[in-house]
Amino acid sequence: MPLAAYELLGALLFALGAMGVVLRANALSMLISVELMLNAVNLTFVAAARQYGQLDGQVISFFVIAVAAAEVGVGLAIVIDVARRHTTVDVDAASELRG
Amino acid sequence: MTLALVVAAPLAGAIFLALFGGYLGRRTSGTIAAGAILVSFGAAAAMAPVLLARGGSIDAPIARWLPIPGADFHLVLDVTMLAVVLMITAVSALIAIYSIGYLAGDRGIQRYFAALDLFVAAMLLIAVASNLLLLFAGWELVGLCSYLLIGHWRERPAAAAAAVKAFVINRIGDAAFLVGIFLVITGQGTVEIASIGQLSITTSVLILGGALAKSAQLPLHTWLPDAMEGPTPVSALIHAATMVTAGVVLLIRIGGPLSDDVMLAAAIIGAITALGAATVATAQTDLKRVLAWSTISQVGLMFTAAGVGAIFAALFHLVSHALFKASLFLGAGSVLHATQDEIDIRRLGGMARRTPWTAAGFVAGALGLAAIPPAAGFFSKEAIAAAALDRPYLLVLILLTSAVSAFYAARLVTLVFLTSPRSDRASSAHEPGAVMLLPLVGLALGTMTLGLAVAAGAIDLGVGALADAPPWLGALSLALAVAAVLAGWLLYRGGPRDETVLALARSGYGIDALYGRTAVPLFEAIARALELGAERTNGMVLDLVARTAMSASSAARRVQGGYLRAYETLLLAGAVALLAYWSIR
Amino acid sequence: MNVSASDLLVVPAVATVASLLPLGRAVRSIGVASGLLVAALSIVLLATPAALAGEQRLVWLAPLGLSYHVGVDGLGGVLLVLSGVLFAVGAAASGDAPHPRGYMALWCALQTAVTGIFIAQDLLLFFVFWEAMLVPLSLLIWLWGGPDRGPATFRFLLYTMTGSAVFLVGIVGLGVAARTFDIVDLASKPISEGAQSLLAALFLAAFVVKLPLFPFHAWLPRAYLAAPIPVAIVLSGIIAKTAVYGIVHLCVGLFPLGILRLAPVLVSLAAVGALYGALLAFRQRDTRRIIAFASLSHLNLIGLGAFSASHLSIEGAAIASVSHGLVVAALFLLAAMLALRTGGFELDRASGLGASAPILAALFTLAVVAAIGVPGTSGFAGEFLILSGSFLAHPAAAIAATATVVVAAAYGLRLLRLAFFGPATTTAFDLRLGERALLVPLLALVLLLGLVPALVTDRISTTDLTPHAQVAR
Repeated sequence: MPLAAYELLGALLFALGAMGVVLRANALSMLISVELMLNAVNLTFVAAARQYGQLDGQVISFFVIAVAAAEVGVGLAIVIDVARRHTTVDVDAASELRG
Repeated sequence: MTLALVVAAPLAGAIFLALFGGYLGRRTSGTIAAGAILVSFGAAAAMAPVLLARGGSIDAPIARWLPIPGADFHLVLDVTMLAVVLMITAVSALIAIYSIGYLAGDRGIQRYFAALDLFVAAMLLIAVASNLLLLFAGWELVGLCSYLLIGHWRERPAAAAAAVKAFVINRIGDAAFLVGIFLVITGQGTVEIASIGQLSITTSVLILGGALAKSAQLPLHTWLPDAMEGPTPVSALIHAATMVTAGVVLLIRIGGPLSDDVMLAAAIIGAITALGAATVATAQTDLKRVLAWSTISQVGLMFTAAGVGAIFAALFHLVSHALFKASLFLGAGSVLHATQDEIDIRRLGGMARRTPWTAAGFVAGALGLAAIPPAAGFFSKEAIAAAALDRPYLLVLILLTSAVSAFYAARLVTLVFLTSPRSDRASSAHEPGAVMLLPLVGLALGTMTLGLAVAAGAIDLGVGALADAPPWLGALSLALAVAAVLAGWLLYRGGPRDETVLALARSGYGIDALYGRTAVPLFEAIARALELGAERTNGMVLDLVARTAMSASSAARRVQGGYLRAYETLLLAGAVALLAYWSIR
Repeated sequence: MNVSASDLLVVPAVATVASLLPLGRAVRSIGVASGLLVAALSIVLLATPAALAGEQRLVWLAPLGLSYHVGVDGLGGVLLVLSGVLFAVGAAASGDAPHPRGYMALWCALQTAVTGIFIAQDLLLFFVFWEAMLVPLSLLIWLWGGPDRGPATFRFLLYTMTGSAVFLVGIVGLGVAARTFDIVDLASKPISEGAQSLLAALFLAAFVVKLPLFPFHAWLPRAYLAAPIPVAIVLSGIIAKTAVYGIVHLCVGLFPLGILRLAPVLVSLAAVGALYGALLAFRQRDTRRIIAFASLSHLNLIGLGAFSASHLSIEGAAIASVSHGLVVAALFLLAAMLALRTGGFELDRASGLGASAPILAALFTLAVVAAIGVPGTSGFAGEFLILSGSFLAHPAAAIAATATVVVAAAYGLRLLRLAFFGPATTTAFDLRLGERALLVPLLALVLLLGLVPALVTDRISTTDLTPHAQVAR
């Protein structure tokens, strides 16, 4: 399959994830969307690695997976704290970090 | 050294009295004040033989002052100014002594005598400064001292207002004088009087402007009548004998460099002022205001003389006027003292019988004013008239002025001294003490003897002998004077008359009122317009800038709304934009 | 004794720290000592014959041409003496400020910054001190000031920093183009006339706001009124003179042709400002506002002298600067003493105080006399030299400014009349020893300089104006 197909799929997934982050109000949904974006990036990297015969893409994928896991951990911890404070995971409720 | 002492003595007296006068009594302060002035007189007299013998001048450079060529502490004395210096110191000393009696019970003795001595020092500075800047220093300082002394009785609002008026009007002349000095510096390169060459008309006009203000000539004369609010010895000193004559002294000292056209203009202004002021004096009912307007008139005559180049005549009249006017003022002061400040001549009368010595002194002064021999006033006025012989229009003005002067002099003497008293205060008057009488008598005697001495040629003032006046002039003047005196006596020997026809003259032809309706409100209107208009606008502009800054920052703040999704959107949009930019490049 | 210019900085810096010692009310003696010491050291430096006394130079960033370069020239030295005296007097008058240690620490910090301005010979160093001045000054006004201190401080800061921003643009532009920020080095580099005009305009942005030149003075009345009296003394007496110093040392020194080109506009604004300030002073009912607008008038007159840039007018600006500093200090102190006795600064509270407080009246009269430029006072010496020095090149402006003497007489004597003349509506106690101790030295100096102006003008004639500046003579 041509690389372009994988890149397109990756871009599409990334876009979907980005839209999800911006448009969804539920903090958990936002985290899932971020995961989607990260995985889309993974897909693109692996496809490119396959295409150009270099292992760098696959190595980066590992990094991305690890970072994603860490980030989800931290993110969930924050969501739990926000949920405790505002008794909701609606992200619009936590808007005190302002000028 | 001796020359420096002339100015230094009264200056030291002023400083000493200002610092320590509070611990001394009235008599001590007055004695110190008068003593300092007498030291000055002595120093000047000591230099007289040398000056009279060899002519020329005595030079006393003292120290540097300003970094302008010629502007140093440097004094110079020639024979002409010697006469002026002797006159200033002699008259001032007598007035200081008189003040000791006049100001009994006054609470401000310390500052009075300090200001008096400072005034004398400054006036002497005008006479002996070697350069225009030092002269200007004395010039402004006499203005300052006149402010301090006119406003001596601080509780009186009228006195406070008069003091400020005098100072401000003088300052107008001073501003003109200053610009004149700038022109001298740029044109002549130095302010040393002896080194100044011919001055331009503009420069001359500006310097004349200064002289007009200081000497209370048209159109800057309106401060002098109001200045009568001050104590009478102050009026005697400042407004008769010395300060107002500063303008004449200036014209005498730099008459050469001043443009001839401007000098002639000065003469004409002087003559017109002289006649006008004389008519106003005739209509006054306030004892001191008669004398004030009389001063304006007489100084006008001095301007006329100086303007046509008759230095000797101007100088002679300067000195003789100082003597007779001071006599008149001190006499007036004694009358006020004796009648508990009854100043309206319509309510006075009978002073000749109640205060005979005062009357004698006053009458001597009046003779000088009316220009009747043997008072010096006759001879000095003769000299002025003689100088104007080749300018008939001036001569006519001078003769008319003399006639009117004699008339109002007679009116004044008649109403105050010769008629019967018209009020309780007048009838219960008694002669003041010796401290006040002796100076008055001294001045009166001076008036009488000076005239004779000069006329007899016993004193040579270094600027030419009394012009060989044609005898018909003297006879005419005398006839006019006697006739005017008789008219005055006849008209007023029955007491005050209805003078409503003189109402316009009494108000000074409405000039002061005119200024009050135009110049003063205009000034205040400009200041108010600036405050409410320009300043407020300026403030609003700054406020506008401040508000713009604040609203711009408020607007910018809205970006940081706290909404997570807004931040995300911006982040995303920015990232997309950057990527797009790079990929296009 | 070898005094270096940096010693002048060390003294107030040490004083700043020393002020934090637990001394209670007596902490103000640190401020007084610091001020007097700086004045004394400056006199020592002024006496040395070098063009730049106590010079020190430590290279900082050679590739950029930045260095720590300090030294005292004639005008700077004279103004340093003035600043020392005024800081000492102000500290002595700060007796009833709450939180005296914080106050005095800020006071000495302010003195450090002001001192730095007068000795800096590197543009960036100058700018650092210029900005550093604002912090303690704003805090002093904002924390110890009267009502309206918030808005007044805000406007003052806003206005000043706008000017400083433009100034910085000029500094950086010049420094980068010439590859050096050192003032002495820059003085010998040729700069084209067009560039000089532009740079002069940029540099002047800061100075015309600080002076303040008409019409950039909108911050002045509010700031002078909101500030506590000692701070007002320093603000008007010496901080305004930092602008004068900047104009003469930097603009006239480095860009004389530029100043020559801009002179007609600047001189006209200054002349207008002098008259404007005087006319507005006449309208005021609050003594501090009278002093504020009178200061505006005087400072614009000094600006006139600086912008005319003739040798004589700059000497006049120097004396007038010192004179104004001394006189305005005396006037503010006297206003405070009067307010103490009448219950406020408004003039309609009481009149006729001359009868019960003759010494107060006498000293107030002397201060006013000096303010309106009567000969014998330093005020006259300054005014006359400025006006006669400007007359040749700018006659119209000089004549307009001369008219100010008449208006000055009007507002000055009006102030005296309202306070001390007329029937006495209340009695007041006369000046106490402490009050006299503050006033007499100030007024004595005024008289001394009036009689011997050479004490100042001789120092100025030894100031090396740069080779460019020979043109401006």
